Amino acid sequence: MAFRLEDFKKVARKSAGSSTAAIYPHQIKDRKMHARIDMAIRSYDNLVGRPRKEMDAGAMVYFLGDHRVARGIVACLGQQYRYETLPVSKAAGAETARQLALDGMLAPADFRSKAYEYVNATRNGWVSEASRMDCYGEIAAPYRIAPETWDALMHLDAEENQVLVRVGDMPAPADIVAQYNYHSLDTVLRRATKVVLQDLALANPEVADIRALASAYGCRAAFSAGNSTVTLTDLEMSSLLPRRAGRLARCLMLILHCLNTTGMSGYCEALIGARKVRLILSIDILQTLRGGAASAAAAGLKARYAAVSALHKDLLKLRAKGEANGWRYKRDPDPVVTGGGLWLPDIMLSHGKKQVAVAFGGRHPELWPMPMLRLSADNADAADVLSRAAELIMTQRPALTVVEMPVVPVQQEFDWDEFDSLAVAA
Amino acid sequence: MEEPQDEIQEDAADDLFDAGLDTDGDDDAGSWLDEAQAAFGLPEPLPPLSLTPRPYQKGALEAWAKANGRGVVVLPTGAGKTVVALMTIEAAAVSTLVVVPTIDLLHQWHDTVCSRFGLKPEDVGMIGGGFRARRPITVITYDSAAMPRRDLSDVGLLVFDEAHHLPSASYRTIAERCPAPFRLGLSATLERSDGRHDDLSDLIGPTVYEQNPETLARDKHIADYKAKRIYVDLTDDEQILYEQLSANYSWYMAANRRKLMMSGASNLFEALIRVAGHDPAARAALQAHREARMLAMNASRKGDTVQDLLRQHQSDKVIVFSEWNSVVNDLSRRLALPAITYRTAADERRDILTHFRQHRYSKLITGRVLNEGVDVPDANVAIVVSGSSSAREYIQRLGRVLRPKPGHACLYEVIARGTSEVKSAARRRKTKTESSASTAGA
Repeated sequence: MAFRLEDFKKVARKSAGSSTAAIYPHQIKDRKMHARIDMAIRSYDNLVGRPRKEMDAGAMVYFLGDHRVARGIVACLGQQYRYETLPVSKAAGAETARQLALDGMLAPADFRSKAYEYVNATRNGWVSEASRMDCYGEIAAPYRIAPETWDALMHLDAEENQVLVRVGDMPAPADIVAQYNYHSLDTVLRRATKVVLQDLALANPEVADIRALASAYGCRAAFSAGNSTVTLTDLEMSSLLPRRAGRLARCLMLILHCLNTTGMSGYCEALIGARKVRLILSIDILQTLRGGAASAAAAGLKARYAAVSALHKDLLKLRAKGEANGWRYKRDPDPVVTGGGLWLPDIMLSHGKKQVAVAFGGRHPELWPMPMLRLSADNADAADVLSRAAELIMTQRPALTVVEMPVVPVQQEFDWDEFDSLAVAA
Repeated sequence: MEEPQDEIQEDAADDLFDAGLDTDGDDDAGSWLDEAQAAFGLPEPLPPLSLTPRPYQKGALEAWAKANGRGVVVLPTGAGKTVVALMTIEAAAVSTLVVVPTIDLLHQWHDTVCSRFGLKPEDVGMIGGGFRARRPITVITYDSAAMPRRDLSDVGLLVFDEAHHLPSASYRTIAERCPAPFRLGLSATLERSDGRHDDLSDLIGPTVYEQNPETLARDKHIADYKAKRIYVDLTDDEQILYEQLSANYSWYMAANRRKLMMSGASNLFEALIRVAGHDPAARAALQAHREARMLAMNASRKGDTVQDLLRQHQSDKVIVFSEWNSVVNDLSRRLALPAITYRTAADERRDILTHFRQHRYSKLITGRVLNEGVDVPDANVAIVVSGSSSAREYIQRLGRVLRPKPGHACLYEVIARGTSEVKSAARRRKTKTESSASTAGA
């Protein structure tokens, strides 16, 4: 996730004679901010279950002092807190909801459709304010519900009536700070036109891997200085359409997470609006992007990309055969960022509000705020594993939107007994 | 513009280019056109077009041909711009790419091309919204056409629907990369707030034909319409708050005019937006300006006026427009009107429009989302509860009631008296009138 440019706090300095400004994305380093962010999290948590109209959007800006930082933090909180439509059963009662469902009215749009049909059949397509409740009373009478309830059911999904829900556990201030710092950097990286990585000690197979990876993402990798410098450029730089954005950033992240890049330095050139800027990839920035995954991982770049492609293809075949059971797949999703570190999933499986992240190789902490599967790159039947795992998660924890579950270790043969016990225990 | 009726033949396509070339006296142009047609010709001739064009549509085609097949045609919504494009496709008889801004229009154009030329759906290409079929005649979205790897080298005729989108930074590459010798732009109004509409003469060609709604309504080609402004007063509380907010804004602008003028922005308001990024006082002034504008546009008495108008037009088909989605939702809830905003799910939007088209719904309220790019069913009455000062938006909304029909169409603008909205309303109408006058002068 990148911040919107108008919400992106940064400093840009241009030296004399240079056409490119140096950019410094804002990073929260001051521990004093943790107390304020903690308060912001608590204020959000107190509003869980409350409608949106009770949220004072301006309060956070005044509280945090800077509107850009405030909007960035709110965007990060949005990963754990979101507004959802109240179910009909909660608004009208379970028995009434069941009766309404029998009549095909399951969602607010169904109630609206019924009301508009009636209003057009009996009242020239509109009702005056004075006679609205009488009209709704006529519609709602067969279901034995009050006209006010009918009115509320029609607009349950209106923005101001949606209620705040928390996804997973309450985040810690460190989680929000880590997300803010990463997304602030990502805002520049997603607009990158060139990434230069220096002081690398690459072996020939790694050079080939980087070249293949870059090519697969529609980028070009050029090597110089005895393979110690790699320059990544977008092959389609002439048109940086939003949908094309982020390929260079993804290549950079994969290189950082899959190769031994200790001691590396570099910079990235990007277009922020119409302005050309340069972001120096300092030790601190690289540390934020690595998120603790400092050493070489189990899977090499090329092997990882090939495995992800094969799995993605298998999953698409499952869907084509109608065996996906409603699961959707997204390749190269956003990294999962917490105070404990950063994890780079390869595929995100989602089913309604449920999500399962899938990664090949890579080091990561023990716990993440969503269920995940870690597969070895040579798992022959990964699609089947995933479909069974996804089903299991659905069966075991159908009421939860997100399940916290320990990571399943990499292995050649997928141990279903162990996976079952872990999922059940979770 | 005088119509050379005697020169217009029943089959305009046959002698179209000859007529234009003779007038210009350009001896080389004939061979150039032949070369263009030889290079980009269709593998099979098109079936004849099954429609009878109106005189001004023939005039538009002729004007485009006289401009060597490059130019923009400006006609109001409902006047049949699509027909002009179809006549152009038939006349040019070369491989064609029709570029449209939305998925709705992609399907609409595809269906129209198929039905008017009597082609099978698979014979007309469609790219965008999950479709990737390229054919000698293809409809494509601006987004898909602007993709850097899109091969546009074999296109002989480029048709840009809603051509005012083309000058934007990412879309202009379509015209720049494509070698098409024939280009046609279609729009109801070319005006862009960033002034880039001037670039269209380089990207497509000059404006070769333009008709305003008044002329076409007079000749009964589109519905005869009445545009009426209805003024409402703010309540006392609203008026006091409005004056306070306006004063806050005006005071900041007056006290900081030098600082704002030094900022390098093209006008003071743009300077204020820039300064608001780091100056809390500027941000407060900007906020006050926005709140004052919202107050004027959403004046509480406008709701009563809308009710009065709906009472007057009980049996008519009415579309209510508002600049703000909050007003759309509020009026929808208060008056049980089906509403379409950007948040309306695709299924629900389709159902509402279908019911409106089938006369099962007679009233509808919407925000800016239906201004263009959506096949909106025709209505008799449009009520503009609030709108920007853009002439384009005004013409687009007017166009929703202009399709030919018996009787009058009505456009009401509800304006809060004594607020900046009065100026906005005057500006959009003035811009529209100036645009029409300049064309007539030309």
